[in-house]
Amino acid sequence: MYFNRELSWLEFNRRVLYEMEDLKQPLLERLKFSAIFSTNLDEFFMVRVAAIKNQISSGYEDPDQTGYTAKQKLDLINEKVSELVTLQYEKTMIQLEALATSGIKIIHKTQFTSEIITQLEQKFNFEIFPVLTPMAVDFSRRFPLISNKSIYIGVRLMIGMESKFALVQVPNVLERLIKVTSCKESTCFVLLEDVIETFIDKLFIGHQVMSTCQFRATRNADLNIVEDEAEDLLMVIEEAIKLRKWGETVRLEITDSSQDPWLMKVLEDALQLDPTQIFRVNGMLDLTFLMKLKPPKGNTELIRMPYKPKKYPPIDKKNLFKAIKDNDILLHHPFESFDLVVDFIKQASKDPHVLAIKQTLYRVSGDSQIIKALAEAADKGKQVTVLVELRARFDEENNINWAKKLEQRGVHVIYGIYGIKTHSKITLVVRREKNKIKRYLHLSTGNYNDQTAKVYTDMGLFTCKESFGTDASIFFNMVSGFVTSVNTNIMSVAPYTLRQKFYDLINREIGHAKAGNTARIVAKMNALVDQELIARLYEASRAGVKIELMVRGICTLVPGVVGLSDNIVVKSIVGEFLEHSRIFYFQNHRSPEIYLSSADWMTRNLSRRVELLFPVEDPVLFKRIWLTLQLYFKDNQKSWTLLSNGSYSKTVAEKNPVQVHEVLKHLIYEDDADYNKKIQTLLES
Amino acid sequence: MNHLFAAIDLGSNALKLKIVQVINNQMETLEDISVQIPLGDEVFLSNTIQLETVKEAVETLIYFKQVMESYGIVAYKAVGTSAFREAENAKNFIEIIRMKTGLEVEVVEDTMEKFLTYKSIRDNVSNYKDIRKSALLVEVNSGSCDVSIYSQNKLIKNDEIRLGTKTLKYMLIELEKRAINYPYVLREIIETRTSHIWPSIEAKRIKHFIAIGGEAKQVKEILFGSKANISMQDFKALCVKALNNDYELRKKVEAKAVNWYEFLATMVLYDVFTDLVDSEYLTVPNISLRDGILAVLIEQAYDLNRYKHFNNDIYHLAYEISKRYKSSESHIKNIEHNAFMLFEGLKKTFSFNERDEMLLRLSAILHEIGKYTRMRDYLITSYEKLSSMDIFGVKHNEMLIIAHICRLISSSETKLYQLPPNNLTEDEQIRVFKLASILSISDSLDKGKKQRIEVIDTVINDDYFFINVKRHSETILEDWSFEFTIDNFANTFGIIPEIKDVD
Repeated sequence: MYFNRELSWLEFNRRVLYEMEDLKQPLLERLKFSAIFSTNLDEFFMVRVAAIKNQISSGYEDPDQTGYTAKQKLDLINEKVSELVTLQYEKTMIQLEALATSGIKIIHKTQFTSEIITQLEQKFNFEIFPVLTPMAVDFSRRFPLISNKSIYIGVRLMIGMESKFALVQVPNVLERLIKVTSCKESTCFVLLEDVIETFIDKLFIGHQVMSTCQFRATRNADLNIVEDEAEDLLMVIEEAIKLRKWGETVRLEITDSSQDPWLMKVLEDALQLDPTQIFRVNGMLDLTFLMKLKPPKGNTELIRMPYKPKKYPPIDKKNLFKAIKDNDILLHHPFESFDLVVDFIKQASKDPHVLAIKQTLYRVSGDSQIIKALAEAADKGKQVTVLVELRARFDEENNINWAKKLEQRGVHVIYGIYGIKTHSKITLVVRREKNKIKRYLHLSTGNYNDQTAKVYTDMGLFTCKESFGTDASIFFNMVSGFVTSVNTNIMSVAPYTLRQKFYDLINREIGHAKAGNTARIVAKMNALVDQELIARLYEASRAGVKIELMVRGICTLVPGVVGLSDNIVVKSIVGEFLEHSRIFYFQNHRSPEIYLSSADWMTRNLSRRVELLFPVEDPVLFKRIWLTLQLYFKDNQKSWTLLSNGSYSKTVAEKNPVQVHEVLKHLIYEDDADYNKKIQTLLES
Repeated sequence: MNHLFAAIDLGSNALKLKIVQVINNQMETLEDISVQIPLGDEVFLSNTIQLETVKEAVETLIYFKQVMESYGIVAYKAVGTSAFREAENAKNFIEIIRMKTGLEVEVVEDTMEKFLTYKSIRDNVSNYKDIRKSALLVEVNSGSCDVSIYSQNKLIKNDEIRLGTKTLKYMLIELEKRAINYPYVLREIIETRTSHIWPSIEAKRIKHFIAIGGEAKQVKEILFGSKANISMQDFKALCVKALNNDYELRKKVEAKAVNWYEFLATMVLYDVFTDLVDSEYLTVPNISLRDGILAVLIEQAYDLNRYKHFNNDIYHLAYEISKRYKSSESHIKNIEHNAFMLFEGLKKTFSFNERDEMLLRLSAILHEIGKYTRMRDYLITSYEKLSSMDIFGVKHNEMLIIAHICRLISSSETKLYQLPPNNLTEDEQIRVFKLASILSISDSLDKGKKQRIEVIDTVINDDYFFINVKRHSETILEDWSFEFTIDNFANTFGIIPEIKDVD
């Protein structure tokens, strides 16, 4: 018994949308959730819907684990997306109206006053017009390729007695939000596409413009790389990125204002679309621009003050290696600063005792300090090996750039293992100390990205335990592609030993439950999809193991079904920060164990990616993670509960509110023991 | 001092790198990498290593070099084994490796490979002392099967049987065409070819069975996981399955990309030998050639004594050989001792090394084996036998040196021996002359084979080499015999030997 993963994902996006209702949040912060919803949905269409469409077009008709055929799934998705998009626009409009009363207005073209038109005409003539390229379609000119996620203006022209189609791409090089200075009382913006549509006549002088519409196409963007023929993965991916723009169209969004069926028909035919793939939008297309809305100067009520992560732990940062040698260090981002991770790499790059640095890079930020430090380390003659996962979806171009730069600086850049993505996050620093080699490690649930570390919750561990160092060396030999057998001691590595490790841990709890002992699994992850693993969780539930899951996104496990999953509870927290840490607690009778991992309980993570699972052995840090995990389950403000019908419910407690992000943001503590004491008190209150 | 050491083993099935650091004289493994490259298969089929494989191997070695550099390794040793010994293009291959990676590869002989592997038992098997008391060691590899016995802390037997998995594989393929029970037919062949060594094994009532080598490790990993000790009952049950060509077992083995016939050949060989011992377990220790190489590197760097027993196995085996040829044990012990005392006195002045000491001692132990077949000119017979003999831990050219030393022992006449020009280098010839001169004196001091003279110590003083001895009775024969050795020694070393009595 499983939920459908696509529908479950859409449920997650619904939870994102509902964040707009949190009146405690400033207006512009609330609107950001609408933008996030749109970005998420774009990716969903580009990857998941595209895959389902591929199944349909290839004639694959077998039902999936939930009993749906691809066609049925697509219909259900379309139905749900329509409902959600309608909801999104309703909620967004409410917020925009409220924003207008707060002094920020977005003016639709139907509301342009003559003063605004005068101002915009000048802007159009001098700034916009020169970069526009109108394209006409007729027998001699093929229908132009429609670029992925770009907004276009479709135009019906009357040439002689015939209707002709033309289109204009709204240029990405220009700001989409244009400030209108003629607004006196408010800060007013108009959208670039509205300006172009208003003055569209100027592009087709001598022809009569009969009607216009705004539209936006979403294309299949999943890279299918044929590695068999790929001598140079770098080149192949560069090619694939170019082609992504032109993948098959999976969705067409069109503004509702266009009432001309002729225009619709032309687009439908040209893009070879089924009517179910066309989504009429009541208002503006592509609400991702809401992310860029800024309050007028001095008006700080509309936004949340940026959160400044704590400088933690209180150690001598000049000698991080000594601090790690003294104790393992745990960091919980974004509550604790990611700077320490950057400092670790920087220090390693400068330290004359460091011989080598090895690191996996999955998604790197645009201006990465880590990359700079790695390059500097190579300049200093240290041996630097970096595994760049080129195929980190939608980040390929960025990764290629870094890979090339690092190679030029003398870094050994490796591109991972044939056919599987390297998703693990690990850094190994080899240091010579008094004629002894010591290996320092940083292991994390999140990427080495100083930007996302400000908004994603992740946990990272610094250690120099020899057992970890040995496994790290084995791991890097494996990802270098030279070694195929992975005989690690305490870490588990997907796709080799990780799945079995989870099975063993679950089976051990089943054993405890059957022996009459209390048995408990508490796990936090981004997604739970893997069928085999879910089947084992059902088995554990039937055996009496108490299972509490915190799954931020997709969850295809059905909780609370009598005789199947009555011992399983699934929660989800959607809030200010994106929940990203993967934490696994197994009670193991009286010897509980906690693991951190880069992997979710998804088939792709367990079977098709290189992932790491590692234990947290230090008792203080162990307690810290365990208390934090309990705190997540104590959240009664942002926590949703998955019901056995697949929907989520949320009850916001009035009394004794606990909001995990808020607690962790504002908690002041001296060290891990102090943190534990304070969280313990809070949990007991 | 550098505390980091690396060993690279360019084996028949894989290239392997191990890096250790030594802390308080204990080894701590930093890296242990094995990359599958079947050099042996190619050499077996075509006598050469193909260009593609050379490229693949070089890429791997470049990676090894990177890993070594990441620890700042200076002390390393890279050795090639059977594929390098047999490939016609081995020298070119070694040169390509040197040019592309800077790594110097030395080809080790079979006897050295075994010696180093056995030596690694010291650091990698916790109950090595028990094993040295009573154990049968069987190593099955692609070209041969090696059988050794440890008894009372000594290696007393080391025989090589020319039955390797590669040969047996093709035999099995042929037999399968002729008989359904083809594994049993192979067992019969193996029994026939090994039965001559069974009595000596059975007589020792051996307590431990040790399976070593890559094939044994593969069987263990596929079917028994990581545990080193496999219950003999379980192992024999598996042998029965293998002999019966069990479908499920074959599927399991082939699923691991292991050749079924090679697996079967390994199992049948072990099945035959495990019948000869009374052991509860079959042990597959985690030992390897690279561990042996590391042991040598560390021994040299720290002047350690812990490998003494394993190093002495060479002498134990030599004694076993001399015993088989009915040499007089008291005589050879006496001349070994006296030769060693003389050697110690000359070592510093004449820059002798530990291999020289070994050559001298082995020559002392083995010089009489020719007597078993011919009393007259027995040294010539010893020379002939030793020239074609392999001894565990001794290189082939060293065996030739030993043969020549024995041939040159001259304690009754002063004739000059003409060394064959082709099979020794000039340096080796000089070594032969020097060591033979020492051994000649030692031999003369026990001419009557009554062990009447014991060398106490030696002193070099100006032009003289004073040999301080203790006499146990009349030594007219020995004194007369000693006179024949003086000129030869003086011509070789430039100092005159003279016996002095001590109280």
